[in-house]
Amino acid sequence: MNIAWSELRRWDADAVEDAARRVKVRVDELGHLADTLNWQHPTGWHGEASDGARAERVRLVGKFDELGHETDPLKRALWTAADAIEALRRDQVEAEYLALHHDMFITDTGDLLTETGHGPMPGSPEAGDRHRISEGLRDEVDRILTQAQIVDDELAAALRRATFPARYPDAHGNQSRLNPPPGGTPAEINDWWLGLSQEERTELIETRAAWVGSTDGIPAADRDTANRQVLAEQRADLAAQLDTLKARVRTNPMEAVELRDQMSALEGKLRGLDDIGNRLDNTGPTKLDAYLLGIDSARGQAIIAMGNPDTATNVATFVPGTGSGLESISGDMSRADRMAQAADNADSPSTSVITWVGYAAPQDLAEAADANYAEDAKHDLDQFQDGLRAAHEGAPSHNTVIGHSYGSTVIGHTAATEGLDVDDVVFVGSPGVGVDNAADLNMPAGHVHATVAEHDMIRASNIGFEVVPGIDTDVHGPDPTGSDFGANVFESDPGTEGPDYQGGLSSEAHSQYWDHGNRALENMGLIIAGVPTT
Amino acid sequence: MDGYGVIVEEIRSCGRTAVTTGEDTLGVDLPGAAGGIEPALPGSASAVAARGLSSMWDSRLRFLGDDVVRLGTDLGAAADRYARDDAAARAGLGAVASRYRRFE
Repeated sequence: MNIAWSELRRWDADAVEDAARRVKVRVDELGHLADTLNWQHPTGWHGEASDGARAERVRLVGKFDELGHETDPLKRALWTAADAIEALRRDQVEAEYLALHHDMFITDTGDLLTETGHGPMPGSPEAGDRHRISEGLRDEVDRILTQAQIVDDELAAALRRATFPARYPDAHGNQSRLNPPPGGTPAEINDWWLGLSQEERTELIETRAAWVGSTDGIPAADRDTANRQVLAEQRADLAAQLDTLKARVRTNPMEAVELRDQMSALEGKLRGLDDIGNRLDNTGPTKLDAYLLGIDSARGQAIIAMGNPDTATNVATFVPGTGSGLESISGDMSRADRMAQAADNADSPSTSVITWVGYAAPQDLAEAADANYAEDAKHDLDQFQDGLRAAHEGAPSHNTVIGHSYGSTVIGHTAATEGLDVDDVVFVGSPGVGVDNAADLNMPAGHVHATVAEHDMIRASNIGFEVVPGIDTDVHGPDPTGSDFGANVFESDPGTEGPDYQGGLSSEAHSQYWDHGNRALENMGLIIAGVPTT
Repeated sequence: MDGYGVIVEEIRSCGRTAVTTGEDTLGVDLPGAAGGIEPALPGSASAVAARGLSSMWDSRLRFLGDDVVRLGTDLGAAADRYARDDAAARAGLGAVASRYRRFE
């Protein structure tokens, strides 16, 4: 949560200190009550009832004591925060005074206005001083807001530890507080993570990067930090593997044919990792900052968010279909970027679109006829969506999942059986989503959307009758754009027309939904932004 | 009052103390102490976390206070049963004594 300059003006160090004092007074009251309960057990009272009463009394006195001990770190954190806030407020007032003194103004958002009409003539010596002062003031505003953020993070963590003490056993407990709640849901993981101090989070990121990077419920920024380490390690590992194979071929050229597929797969993965690295580094004005939310080069999987999903108003998850993996991640990231831009065009206040290749996708058409790939993916997709909800800051975001081709099948299976916690689902060029009707997807009426291009080859998989008697060619169920299915059907451009012998269908049309100017792209932007489609 | 009667009264007294302690626990405004943090830090994660803590403390004190009151009422009920049993025992022993007296 970013602290606004105007909000910091209203931070009240005295009230925070007073809270610490009141906690102490109330805990003292509870201590006295515990003393009252800690009476001498009636002398001469023996037997089962006596033992039961004694045990219950001891248990209850222990509960009072626990509550008291748990508040000790909180009181210290409140006092520390109060001191820090007092200093910050003093610095803030000084910065504002200095700005006014030089005819400048710090706005509610922390921007420095220098063009107040009272400045010196441009080019004059006074103008140079003024520039230096304004630069110094900007640095000071940044420092104050950064410090306020740190104070808030630390205090919020202490408050959460006091709220859920069982998740953070102290030095005398058996469990390290660096251990997550066993079997925790993404919401529990998020609570636990936010209750750790910044040092503890940094320690976990450094020592357990793969776990932090892949765990749903941990904030996107922290997953990203961890996964960038993992990316570098995996890249080095793949490069070393490739070097070993190349050395073998140099030593024994006869092995070249045998090792060709292995080497080609490694080269493809390395290209994918480099594409991800390039996108992470590309923070130019036309693209949102990217966050690496998952990377597993061994399984060819990656999850990359264009824009921070924890702070965006509108969050979409794009699930690509057959053939997706690290080798083709560049195109899928580009589609996410285009959808983010389309949502921006539809007046989305802030957007994050995530390329989710967090599953083992079928790699050819034969595999794509198998529903098991979707079945295997549904738990992970569901968990990922729960993690997005848990880690989101402020008011809940509007969340959408968009599946292309087999990706729509994955979403259908997940929504039908796991119950996806999203606001809208979108099927694009779908071979079927595993159910016969939108009502079976556990979504509110009107929140299932579908499109298929006129010339998309996928239409051939949705014929709906047996071409060969006894063989079901419509394995994933009906086309979700069909009138009986009950989805909101939105428009796409027709796509490239195929030859007559293919009935005008083409494989090109199956991949053109994200081309610039395609009505499908525009409509997906509208859905992500929560606006009706055409 | 004999030794048995003293123990029963002690149990009853402990019960009364527990009921009062439990009721007083319910009245300790620890949640309100945390509640003061939220308005002091507008726009912060701490404000949100403080709201959660206040609510959690409210539940914990309610459970704790109720449990202590329950211990007190259980002790009172035990004292009543002991007293009734003692009276029944006395009555039974009185009947036996009178039967013995007839044979004297």
